[in-house]
Amino acid sequence: MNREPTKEQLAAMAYADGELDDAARAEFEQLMATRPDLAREVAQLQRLELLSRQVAGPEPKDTEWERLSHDHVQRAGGNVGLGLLALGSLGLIVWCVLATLAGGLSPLGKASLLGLLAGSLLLLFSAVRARLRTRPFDPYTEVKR
Amino acid sequence: MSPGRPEEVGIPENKPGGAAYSPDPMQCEPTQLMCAAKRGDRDAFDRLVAKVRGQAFHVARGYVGSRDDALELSQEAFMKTYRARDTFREGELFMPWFHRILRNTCYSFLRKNGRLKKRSLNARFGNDTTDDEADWDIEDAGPAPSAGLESDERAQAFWRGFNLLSARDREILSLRHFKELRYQAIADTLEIPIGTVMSRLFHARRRLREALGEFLEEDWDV
Repeated sequence: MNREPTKEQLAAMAYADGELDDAARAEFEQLMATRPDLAREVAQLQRLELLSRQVAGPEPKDTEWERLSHDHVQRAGGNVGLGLLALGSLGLIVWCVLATLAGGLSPLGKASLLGLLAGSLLLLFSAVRARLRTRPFDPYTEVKR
Repeated sequence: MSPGRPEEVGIPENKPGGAAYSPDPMQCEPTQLMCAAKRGDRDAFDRLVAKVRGQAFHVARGYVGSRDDALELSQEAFMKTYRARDTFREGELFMPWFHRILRNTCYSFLRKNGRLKKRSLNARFGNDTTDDEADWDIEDAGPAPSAGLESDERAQAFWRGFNLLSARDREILSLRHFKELRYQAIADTLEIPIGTVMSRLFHARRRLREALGEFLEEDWDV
């Protein structure tokens, strides 16, 4: 399966890639005229080259690179904001738990309130975990309007 | 038929450390610009980025598939390069150094997203399993990055086949097919001899051709 290429196969590849000097190119063309298998090999490599060029698409424009440098600042701001929000929410939940435990609620009221808080926290955690796990395979992150 | 060597087909071996070694001319300007950037010339670094970002983008896209991710990862690699400019040794070539940064940036991204998978024992194309991440599979992230050619069946077939290849195969095919680098430039970038470039390119293309199957057999104009 991983057979090393022969001299002729390497020459065919170098010929298709335009890597041979004039003398080697002329020599290979003479050989190719008598060897249909080499001519077919070269034709396939040229098709592959052409197909690659067709699917490669254009390089990003200057404006796209510029937009990226702005995005970076935007994203950093967003991340800091999200971090503060998460920290604040967590603090609020802890405060609620402590206030509930210290407050004058009946045991049933305390248990219900703690259950509500724990459930909300668990749901939030599950949703974030599921999203993080599926995001790399989500085709809709690539959709362009 | 015996296995071939590059010098036998008229391409001289030209590897770093060899007596007659001379790097590809395309390596010189980025290296000079990086040296100037290291000495504090910010404009030189901007010119350097403008010069090599196309290549960085194509290589990154070969690794990660998505156009947007490739753009961001290239940008991230340039930022890392700028931050690490003091560690660039004058006298070494810029492209191999930068390529290592870019490759590590892409691998980190793929690892973080759980898309870098060790090849299974029944690897698709008969490769042995290895601990070298370059030989690992990269899991498909979804739609093919065909930049507006989504409806083109041939483009979809190409990317499906391309996404079956290992990281190492994608790397060399991206450099040759999307950036059209010559063998010497690829050898300098990857810091491998020309003979290894030709061998890797040969095997990577053969695997891609096998994956494309009928799409390369069709009778269409070249």
